[in-house]
Amino acid sequence: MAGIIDVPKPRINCSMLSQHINRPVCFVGRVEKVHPTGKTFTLLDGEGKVATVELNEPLEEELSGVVEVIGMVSNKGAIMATTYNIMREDKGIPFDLELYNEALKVVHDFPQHYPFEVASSG
Amino acid sequence: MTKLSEGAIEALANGVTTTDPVLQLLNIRRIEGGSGPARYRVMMSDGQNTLSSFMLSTQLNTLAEENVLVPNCVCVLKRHVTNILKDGRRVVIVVEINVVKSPEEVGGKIGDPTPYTEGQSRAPASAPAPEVRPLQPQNRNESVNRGFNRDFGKKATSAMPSTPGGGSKVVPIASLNPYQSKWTVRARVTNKSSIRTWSNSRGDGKLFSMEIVDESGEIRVTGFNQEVDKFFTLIEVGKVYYISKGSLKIANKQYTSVKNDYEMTLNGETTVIPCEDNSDVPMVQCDFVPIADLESRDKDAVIDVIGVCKSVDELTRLTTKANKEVSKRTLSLMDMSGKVVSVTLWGEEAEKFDGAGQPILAIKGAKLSDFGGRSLSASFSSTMMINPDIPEAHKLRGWYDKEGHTMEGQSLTELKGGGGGGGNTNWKSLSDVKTEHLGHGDKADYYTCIATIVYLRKENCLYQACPSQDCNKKVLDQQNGMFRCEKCDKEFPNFKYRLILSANIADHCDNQWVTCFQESAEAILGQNAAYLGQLKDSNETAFDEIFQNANFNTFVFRNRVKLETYNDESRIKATVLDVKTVDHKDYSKRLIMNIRKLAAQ
Repeated sequence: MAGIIDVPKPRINCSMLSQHINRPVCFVGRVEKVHPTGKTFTLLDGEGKVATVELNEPLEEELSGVVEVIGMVSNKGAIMATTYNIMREDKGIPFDLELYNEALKVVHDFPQHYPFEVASSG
Repeated sequence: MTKLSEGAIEALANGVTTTDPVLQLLNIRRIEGGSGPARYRVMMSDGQNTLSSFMLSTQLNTLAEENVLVPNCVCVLKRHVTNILKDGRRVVIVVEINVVKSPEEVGGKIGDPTPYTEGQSRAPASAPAPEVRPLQPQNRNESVNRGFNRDFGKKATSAMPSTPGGGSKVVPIASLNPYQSKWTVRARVTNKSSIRTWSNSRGDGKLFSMEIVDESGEIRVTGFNQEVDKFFTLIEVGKVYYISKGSLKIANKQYTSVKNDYEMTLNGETTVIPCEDNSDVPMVQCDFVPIADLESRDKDAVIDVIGVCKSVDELTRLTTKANKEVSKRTLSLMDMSGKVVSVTLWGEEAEKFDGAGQPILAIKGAKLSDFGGRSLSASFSSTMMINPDIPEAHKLRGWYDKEGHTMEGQSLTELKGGGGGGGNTNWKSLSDVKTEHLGHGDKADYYTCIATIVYLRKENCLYQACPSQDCNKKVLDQQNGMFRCEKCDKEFPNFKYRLILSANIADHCDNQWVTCFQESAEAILGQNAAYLGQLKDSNETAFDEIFQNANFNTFVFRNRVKLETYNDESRIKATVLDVKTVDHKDYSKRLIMNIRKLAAQ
C-alpha cells in the first residue's frame, strides 16, 4: 500500500465521514476532549459536530486549538490518524473553521471543478 | 334615515362657516391635471341644494382612487378652505372628509335637491361682504373635541388675531395649492440650506431652500436672489414663522423627500414673520424606514432613517473633481431590525459629528445608494438630529441599552477596510475592466481588484522633486548644485526623491499596466522613496534586489481608469490609488459568495 502521505486525501467534515469509510481523508477541527489515555481525542468541525480520532501511539504533547488530521476512516466512522498537525493560532489570523467548512462544501458541491479524486482512482 | 345638514350648501357657497356639515356625495369626477397630479371634482348635496364646485385636495386623491368616496355616500366635511376664482366663483377645497355611510346603507339620493345658484337667497358672493371670509379654516371657534381637529381649531384661533398682513388666515400646509393666492401658514423651519450660487449662460444668481412643517404636513420652500437677501438671515432652523403669499408649483420629487405635491417659492409679495407662541407646532415630520427595508428600496430614493450610531470612522478629507476639498465621515447605524447600514456625512456635519456614547441619530432626507450593497448619504438637503426627543428615539434607546448592544448587527453595506479597499468597493477582474470598457465614459471609473505584481519597471521610477512641503513638482538640475522648481519659482540646494512606478499586474484572466505614485509604490516595494533614492545612487545591486523581491506579491489594488488622448492616440490610463495587503478571510468569503451566486444562476 502506497503511503497515505503520497495519495490524495479529500478534505471532509463530520457529515461526510460515512461516505469515506476505509478511505484516506484530511480532517480539520477544533480539539474538544483528549482521552486520559492520550490515544484518542475528539474534534469539532465547522458545523459543531464531533468526530473521534484514534492514534496508534499516545500523544506526547498537549493538544488544543485547531488540528489537521490525516488518516483512514474506520468502519465505525472514526479517523485512524496517521499524522496530525496543529494550526498555530498564536500568530497571524486565527483559523476560521466555519469559513473553512464553507469552502469545503464548495469543493464537494462542484467536484467537476475540483477533480482531486481522479488521481487516487488511477 | 340619515339627516343631512340642510342649508350647509348655501353657507359653503357663500363662504359662511359651518361646523362639520353632513353632506351626500352625488357625483365625483376625475380631472387630469396637466403636468400635476389628477384632481377630483365632487358634487355634494345637503338634501336641499347641490353644489358641484368641490375639489378634493390632492392628498385625498387616494380616497377617490380606492373607491372610498363614491356617489351617494354620506360624509362629514371636517375641514375645507374656500377659494374665490378670478371670475368670482367659489371653489370649496376639501381638506379632510370622513365617510359616515356607504351608498348601500343610504340607498340612493336623499331628498330632491336642486342645484344651488349664486344669489339664490342671499347677496351675491362677488359682493365683498365683510363677514365673508374666504380661506377661513373650519371649526376655528367651535367646540369640536376630536384630536387633530381640536388642535387645529385652537391654533387657528390663537393665530388669527396676530396674523400679519391682515386679510389672509392661517391655513394648514396640506391645503396649499397653486389655485389660491391669499394665505398664511404657520410653520416650523426644520431645515435650511446654505446659500448656493449658480452661474450659467442665462446669468447668475443665488438661492436657498428650507423645509417647513405644521401639524398637517410639510413643504419645501425656495428663495432666490432678493428673497435670499431679505429672508436668509431672518430664518432660523427650529423657529416658527408666519409665511404668506408664496408661489406654489409642482414639486420636483427627485431632489427631496418632503411629502408634498407642491413646493413654494418666496416672491416679492411674500412676508415672513416670526411667531413667538409656537409650542404646539410639531418639530419635524419623519417617516422612518426600517433599515432592513432599505434593500427593497430603489437606488437614489430619499428616505428618513433612525438608528443607534454603533460606530464612527475617523474624519477623512478628499478632493472633489471640481478641486474642492470636502470632509467626510462614515458611521454605522443600527435599528431594531438588527440590520446595520453605513451612513456618510459630509462637510460641516461630518466635522461636527460626535459619536461618543452611541447616540440615536435620525436623518431626514438621506439618499440611498447601492454602492457596496446598500448605504446612505446625508446630503446638504438632509436634516440630522442627534438624540431627538421623539418616541421612536426613546424606544430605540431603551431597546439598544437592554438588548441591542449585544447584537452583532448584520450590515447591508459590504465590509470596508481590511482587504476591502475603501468605502465603495467595485470588485472587478482585470478582464471585466476591459470587457466592460471601464474608463471609456466621460468620467473616470474606479474599481478594486486582487492582482499580483508580474513586472516592475525600475527605469525612471524615481524623480527629483521640489523639497518644499506639498509641492511635488519635478525640479531642474541647474548643474551648479542647485535645483530649480518652476512651480515655486525658486532654487533649492537639495531635492527629495519621489516615486512614479510603472507596474504590470495580473490576475487569473488578464494583465494590466498601472502607474503607482509615492504611497502605493512604497507599499509595493516595501521601502520608502528616500531610501530607494539613496540605494540607487550607492548600491545598485541592493536596489535591483528590492525590485526582484517585490515581484509576485499579491495585493488589493484600487485603481482609477480613464481613456486619455495624447497626439491623437487614445489609450486607457490606469492609476493605482491604493494598495493593501490581501485579507484572505475576507477574500475567501467573497469568493465563496460569488461561487454560490454563480451556481444559483
